[in-house]
Amino acid sequence: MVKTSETGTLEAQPRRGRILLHALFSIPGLALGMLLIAMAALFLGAYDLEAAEIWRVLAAQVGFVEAEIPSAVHYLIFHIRLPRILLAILVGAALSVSGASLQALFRNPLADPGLVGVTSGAMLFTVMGIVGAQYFVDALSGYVNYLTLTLLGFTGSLLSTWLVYRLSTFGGTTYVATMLLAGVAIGALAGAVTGLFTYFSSEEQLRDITFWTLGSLGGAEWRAVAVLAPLVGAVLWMLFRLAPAMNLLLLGEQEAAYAGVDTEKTKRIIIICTALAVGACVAVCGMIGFIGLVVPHLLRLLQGADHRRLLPASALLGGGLLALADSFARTAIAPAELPIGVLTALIGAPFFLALLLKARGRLAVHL
Amino acid sequence: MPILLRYTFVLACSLLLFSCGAPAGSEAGVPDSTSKRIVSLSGAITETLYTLGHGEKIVGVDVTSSYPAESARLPKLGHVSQLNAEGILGLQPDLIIAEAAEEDNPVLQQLAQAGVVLLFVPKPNSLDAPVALATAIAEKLGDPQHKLDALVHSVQEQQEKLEARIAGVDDRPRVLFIYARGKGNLMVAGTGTPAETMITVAGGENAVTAFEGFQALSAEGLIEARPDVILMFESGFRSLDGVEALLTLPGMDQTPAGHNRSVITMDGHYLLGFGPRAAAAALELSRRLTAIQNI
Repeated sequence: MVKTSETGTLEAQPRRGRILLHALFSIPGLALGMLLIAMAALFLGAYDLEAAEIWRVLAAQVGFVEAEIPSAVHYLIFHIRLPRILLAILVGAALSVSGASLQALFRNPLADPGLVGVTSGAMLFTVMGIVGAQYFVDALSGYVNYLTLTLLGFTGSLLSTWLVYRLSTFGGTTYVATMLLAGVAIGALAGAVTGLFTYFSSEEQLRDITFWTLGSLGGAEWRAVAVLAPLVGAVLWMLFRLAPAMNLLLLGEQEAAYAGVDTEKTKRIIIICTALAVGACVAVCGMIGFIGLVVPHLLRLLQGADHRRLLPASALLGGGLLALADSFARTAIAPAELPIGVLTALIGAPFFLALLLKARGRLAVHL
Repeated sequence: MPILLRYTFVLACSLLLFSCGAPAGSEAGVPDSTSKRIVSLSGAITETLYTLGHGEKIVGVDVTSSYPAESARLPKLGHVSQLNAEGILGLQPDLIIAEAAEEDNPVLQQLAQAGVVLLFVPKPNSLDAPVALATAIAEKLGDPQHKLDALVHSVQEQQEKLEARIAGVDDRPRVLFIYARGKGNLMVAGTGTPAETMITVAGGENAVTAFEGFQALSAEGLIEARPDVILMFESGFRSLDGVEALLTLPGMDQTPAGHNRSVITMDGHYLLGFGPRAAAAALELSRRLTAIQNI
């Protein structure tokens, strides 16, 4: 048996390990880590390209050297790998920060976009879009298609989150227990209506829906990045600005109000921002679970719950982790592909359980 | 999975050996009598390619390609809606053949932009389809007419035999097609389904006319359908626990099929793939239907 000190298991590690861990999980450390993962992901793939070749293409693109680049190699790097890596980072960051913000909103470490009905609402509306697309399929192409599905995902998640929020707010106070239960109920309802739509969908649509619920970053292209990047950027900026208010919210709503936080406005912004981010991510790449739960948790255990650090750290770690997971998804069983949603759940769930075991009884303190 | 991983490793190694400096893909729009490396994204397409003698040129197939047995050695690309763009490019194909329903597939669009030639063929769903499919593929690959003729003749021969059989039969048995994925997941084929097409050309009659497409099997619907024969995929049949599980389904005992234990099982791609063997499958189904009627 290893004896653990009062400060907890992770802090009780040998001094050098602790310093290393803190350096690694500091904001610059995480940023560097994410960059390294992104770079490594650019060199990884089912298509065998020599590292020297990739460096040459990159250098030529930046304009350092004049080189004749085969169009296939150029396309592979700049239109298949790069947009996919960027999309993974955007989605990972958006889901992680949304998870962290919802956890602050609910003052509950178990809050996850999947748990409070945000994801299921987005799923319902996007499935409606897929099934309904047959009636106006010509109008839906390219950017319009992305924007429509994104808008539908956002509408769905906003509607379900708003409904859950209204159901659990009376007399100016949001009751967190009611909110979680209402989230579960709305999630079940949205799931049932989704089931109804899949029942009426054609064979091909059903296939699309099934694979889409597994989540995938395959087929990622610049258009998807172009739609998501400004949106995720804006949402992150809004949520980062709310970090001090989130810190105060953890003390309790009344306490936060006494400390000068406009709690209702803060809660409203958190709900709209997370609905927007999650809805858009779900619409573009399906259901990717556990990132929003595991990433903020891990960081909270390592460096505490100060949202001014937690939110940016979540964005960096979430982006890096999803890019890493996706690199695995697209190379592990090449030339085929693993569904990324299945992969994150496979890695995320046991990891989360291990964290729970390690920190048994300490979660309440950290939140 | 280990086999798959080992295979991937071998493939990766061989690609490493062969791919150094080789340009990927050919220019779009060029007619492809020169196609040397073909990716096939449906079972019927794979089968047609083998029948036309292009089996050696196939470098990758989707998950539905299971016939002929030689195709098992080919890299499997998974399901057509979960394709890996880079994985396919890594196979260095110069032609990808897929069903027309996949024209909007984002991964295939990426591959087209990367310079790989795409050929979309209509989804085969009738007895005439195999010939149309083979013609489209033979045309693209610049095959001489006699190669195609061999396939067309064998299909026509089977079809004539089939027509001769059907002409002599005036009592059309009511056939219920059940698509099973385990005991709790039974769907029956209504109107407008490939199963209905196959049952009809084989001299039977679809027992279900109440709805279009597939719906879950219900006890009342089963009794109302009054099937003389139950038709299933072998794989679906295996997902139940033997014939007893099928016959003890609620309502089954009240139908002629359940009463007489009349169940026909056939390989899924053979029966409903509408590949080159479609006419042969219809002929076999027709024979087995008659055999049941004569008991």
